[in-house]
Amino acid sequence: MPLIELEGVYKVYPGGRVALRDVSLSVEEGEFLFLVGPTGAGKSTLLRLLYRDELPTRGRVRVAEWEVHRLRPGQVPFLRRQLGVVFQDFKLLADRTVYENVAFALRAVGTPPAWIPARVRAALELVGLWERANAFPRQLSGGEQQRASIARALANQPRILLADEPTGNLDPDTSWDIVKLLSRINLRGTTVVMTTHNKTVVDILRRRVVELQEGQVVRDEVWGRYAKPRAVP
Amino acid sequence: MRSLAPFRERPAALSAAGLPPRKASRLEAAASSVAFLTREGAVGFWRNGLMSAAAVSSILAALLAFGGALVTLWNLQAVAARVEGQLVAVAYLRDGLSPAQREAARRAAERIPGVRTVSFVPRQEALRRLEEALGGVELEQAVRENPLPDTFEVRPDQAEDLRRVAEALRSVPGVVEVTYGEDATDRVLALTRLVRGAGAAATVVLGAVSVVVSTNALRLTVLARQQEVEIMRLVGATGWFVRWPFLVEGLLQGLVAAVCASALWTVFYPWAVARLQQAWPFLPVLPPSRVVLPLVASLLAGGASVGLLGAAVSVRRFLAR
Repeated sequence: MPLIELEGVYKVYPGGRVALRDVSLSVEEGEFLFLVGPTGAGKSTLLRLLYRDELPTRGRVRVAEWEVHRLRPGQVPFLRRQLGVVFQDFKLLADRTVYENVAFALRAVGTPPAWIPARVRAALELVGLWERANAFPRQLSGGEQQRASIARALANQPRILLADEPTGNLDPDTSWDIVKLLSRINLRGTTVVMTTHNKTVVDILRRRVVELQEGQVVRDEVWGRYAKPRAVP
Repeated sequence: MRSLAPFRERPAALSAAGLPPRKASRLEAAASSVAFLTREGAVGFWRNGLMSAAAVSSILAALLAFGGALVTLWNLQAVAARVEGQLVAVAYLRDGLSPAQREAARRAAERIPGVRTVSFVPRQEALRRLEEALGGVELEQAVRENPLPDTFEVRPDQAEDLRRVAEALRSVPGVVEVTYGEDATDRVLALTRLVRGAGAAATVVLGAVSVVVSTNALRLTVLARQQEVEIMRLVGATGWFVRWPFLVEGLLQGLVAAVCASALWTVFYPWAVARLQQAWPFLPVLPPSRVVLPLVASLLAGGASVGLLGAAVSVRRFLAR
């Protein structure tokens, strides 16, 4: 059974803007998936449906054993514990150190305090940020901040990592570092779904690529590139 | 249980990094969470010093007004009760009743529903009171024989019952006449009813105002921590986990405001009573000993519930989704 499954999903926002149109998609456990497409194509909306920040207007969304489209509000937290989410703007708490930011996420899901130091350390070592554990977010570079937010997303050992434009604010070299890190995390068994505009990393990595345009899946390739190769004239 | 199932062993990934096993008593985990969240709330209270001060002072203002309403209400109630307590029905007894007949009449009067006390006023006593009321004239000398009858003074449980009690008294054997100041009674009752109603309404309104004021004050606290709430929800914190620190913070703010309000009222009320009695000695005000303790208790209870309620209302919109 695929780990993530969307079936005939429509998303219409209040006001009538159609973000997704009849999207069906399935992702196997352990896959690395790039979601590409122009701004406003519905990539972020698709991710938001997966962690149930939004509900589909029509259609089914399943993540692991959770029927996300009809999840009771009380169960949403338990779905989210299976998911790590990373954003373009990192969303780190400015008044807490890197260590405290990661520990905060563990605390928030009720992790016993005795386990927290080891978990935080493991997560920060995984992203190569253990030496900066006591720094505050403003003392870090953009790449380091993104690695801190990835550590926070992974601390709870989710099965799936969702990354919404994780390299959107980073220079090319740093972007490449982050994508390599995500790829490494994927090799350890975590399913990764990443939206991006970064043509270079998609073309180098050659992973599965799903392209959205105006809310519809227009391309789904196993060893994809950022854009469809044009026919040589 | 399905909802607790998300914990599963990851085969390769992080568990290889020497992480502790995912097993602990759920009770232990819950207890540590509650302690942690309570601490978070208390820390938030101190860290957002300025905002807490703002919230505390607006709750304080509301509680001071609420205390004023309570004090006024209680005093008005005391006055009303006192005035109503003076309402009695007087039953005049036939001359020459034997003690046994009088006793029978008293028992019959006591059996009337709504009667609190029946007290016998012998004619000598009635004469003495009349003399006193006339300013110490020696009436007995003047009239030679006491013309007054023996009476019962009958007090009802509820002042409203006076008319009915008086009617019932008329049919008690041995009673020849009953008076109860018909018109005056009705006017007094209308007045005390009005006073009670107005005082209670003012208290309710001020209580509601306190809730609104503290909801607004606590909304600031919630807004200040909007990002934390967002992240907690994102990583899968349950509603209670998000709510708890705010409730603790609201409770603390309400209690601090209540302690300040109590302190102020404890000083102010005795002072005000002393000043009032100096100016108008006849004014019936409740002594501080009967007001301060219930007032402090009400303010603490009010502050705590207003803080909790305000926090619950302000945090609700974050949990709506």
